[in-house]
Amino acid sequence: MLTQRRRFSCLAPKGTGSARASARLWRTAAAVTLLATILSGCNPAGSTKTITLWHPWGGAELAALKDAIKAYQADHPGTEVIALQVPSDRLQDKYLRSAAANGGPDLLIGATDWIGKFAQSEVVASLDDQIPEPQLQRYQNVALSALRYKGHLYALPESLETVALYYNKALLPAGPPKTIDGLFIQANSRDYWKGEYLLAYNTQFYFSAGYLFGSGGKLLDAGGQAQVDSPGAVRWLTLLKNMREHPRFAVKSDYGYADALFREKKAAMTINGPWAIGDYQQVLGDDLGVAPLPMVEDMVPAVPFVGIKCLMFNPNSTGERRERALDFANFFTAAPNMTRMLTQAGHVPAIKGVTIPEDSPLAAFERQAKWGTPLPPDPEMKEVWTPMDKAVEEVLTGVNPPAKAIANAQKLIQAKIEAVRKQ
Amino acid sequence: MKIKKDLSESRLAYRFILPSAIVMALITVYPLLYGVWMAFTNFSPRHIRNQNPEFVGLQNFIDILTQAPYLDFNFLSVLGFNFVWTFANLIFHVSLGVALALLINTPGLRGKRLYRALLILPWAVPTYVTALIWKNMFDTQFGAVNLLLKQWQQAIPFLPTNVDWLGQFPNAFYAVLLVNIWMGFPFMMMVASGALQSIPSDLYEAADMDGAGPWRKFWTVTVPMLKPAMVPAIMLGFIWTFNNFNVIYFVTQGNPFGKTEILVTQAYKLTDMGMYGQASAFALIIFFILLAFTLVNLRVTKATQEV
Repeated sequence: MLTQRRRFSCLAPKGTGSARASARLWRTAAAVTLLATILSGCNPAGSTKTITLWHPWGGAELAALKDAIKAYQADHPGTEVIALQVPSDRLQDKYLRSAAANGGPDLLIGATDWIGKFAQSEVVASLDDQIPEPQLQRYQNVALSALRYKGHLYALPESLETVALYYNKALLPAGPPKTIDGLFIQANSRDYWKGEYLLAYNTQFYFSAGYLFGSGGKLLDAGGQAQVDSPGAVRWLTLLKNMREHPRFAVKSDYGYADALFREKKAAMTINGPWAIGDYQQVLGDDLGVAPLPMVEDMVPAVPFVGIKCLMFNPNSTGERRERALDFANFFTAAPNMTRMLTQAGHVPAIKGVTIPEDSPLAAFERQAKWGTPLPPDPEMKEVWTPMDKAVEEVLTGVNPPAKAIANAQKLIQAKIEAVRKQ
Repeated sequence: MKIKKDLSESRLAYRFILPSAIVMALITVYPLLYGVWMAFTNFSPRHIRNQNPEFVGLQNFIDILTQAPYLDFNFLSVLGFNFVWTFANLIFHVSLGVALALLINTPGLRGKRLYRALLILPWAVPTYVTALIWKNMFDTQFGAVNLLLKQWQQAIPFLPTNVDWLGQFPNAFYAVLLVNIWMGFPFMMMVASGALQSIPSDLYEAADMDGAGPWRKFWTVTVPMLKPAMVPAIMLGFIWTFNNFNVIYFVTQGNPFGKTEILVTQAYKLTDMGMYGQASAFALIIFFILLAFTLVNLRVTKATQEV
């Protein structure tokens, strides 16, 4: 027994050559793996170049962005675009804080109304003399001029955004109403439409502002002072109140609520921006129609905000990093990619070469944009949103009548503007 | 003299804790002091890079306490709601926790471990996950709560349906309260059931001999014996609930109209508005409120220990 065991134990290393080889292989593999793990930190900075990008896009827009990044990386082997999605209501503050603390991404997909605040806080790079002339020629003049603040260019335009009326042709055989009066006439009779609600309306300020400006209301004067308290603003809030009280309208300051009602075919119409078109087409297919917003009255159109989704550059990313970011922005706003963003994500291109086909539902956004008002770039805009949303909410829930709510908003906005100026 | 002697005796010990003391000083003490300094300046995002905010003295504190026109909240009403919120929660946490602990401690109960594990579950899930799930459950149109109410209404006709849980005031308070009760009672239950197990059974036997009924036994034996364990737990629960950011922020965000706002969520909103100076001042006020409470707490716990 004993000898046998001993023999066996001394035979094993010599006798089974394959076992020995595999043990050696295992040891080598382990060493290589460990070394590679340790040395991966010593990767020379140049071998993979990165571009970091923060954006607010989800759904069809995110898918289109991912495809664009894939295409860019295929053209530029060794470059990696790292995209971080930040919810749109958090993006501005997150970027402002990070960039002010010398951090942040190389590139930001932002909106027009951020420019003033960013320029004032020195967290956006001026693009004067950074963009070659032929590239500048590519963009629509309206779009470029909206991205200038105090004479400097701060961003490159990507797409035009405004809100319009989406409708479900199956639920609304009569077609969308031309005016607000027409809308209420439809609401009062079941002959014109089917479904639970005629209109699902998210009344957050960005989405309902069309009727503020359409009714003659204003936000800021030339000196950046609040100017919201006006008869037009009272008419606007009264309209929202009348809609809220009508049982055939689903009116609430809640994006997800209106969006879900329209998708689930419970509401025949909704008011939303072009970014939703991809998702709505998926659900409704050919039944989806888009029309300009119902006019305030005959010949008096609603005047929604026209914003420009744009690419902004972080002043903390300089030299080669900036070059790469500029190169990516050049690629992103060139015709092939703008066509991709148009067809996949419903972006209304801000460049001259790519046009929307006449029969596309997106054409309605282009028409609506002609009546719209540019989203002001003033830094004071940051103080406007919350108080205006609050005024809408006060009126909808009956806490305050329209005149009182708008007077409160006026006071709050003006006080906030003054407090921020003192900082 | 004594201090000097202590110091020389424990020199080696101080050397051991020096590394962690340095780390603590860098990552805890320094930011704390920095925050205190910020409270007296007009610090805003602009000053992160170009430091040199102006010194404004007590202006931030005055603005908060007297509700300057640029602030859309009233400090005293937020503070008042904060206390209502805390006490309402504690009442439910403690009574539910003790009641469930008594049930679980029933002698000869089968499946005790299973019940205990299931009841602790709310405590084991990260709070923001729970909070976000509850937020969706309170959705007016598609939320589980309203769908459930609709089903139950067939049996109980007077039940309300289509309740706007988060958009109207008392409802929003009930909603956040319900969420936090659900998340908070397991802790109290654990403390109570631990204390219950350590009550010697001869006390109950003696009570039986004296002819005490179950109700009498509960008030004269169980409650006094639970007190030393429960009082510190309640104090701790007070501070946790008082500063419970997650539930309020993720479920109602302080809406409607800031009526369900508590002090910490309000301070957070100030930071969001870029008013770092005011936010620091606000945080300092919260600190002093909790400091006062902790001092009282220390007194009370000491008192219970002496008993």
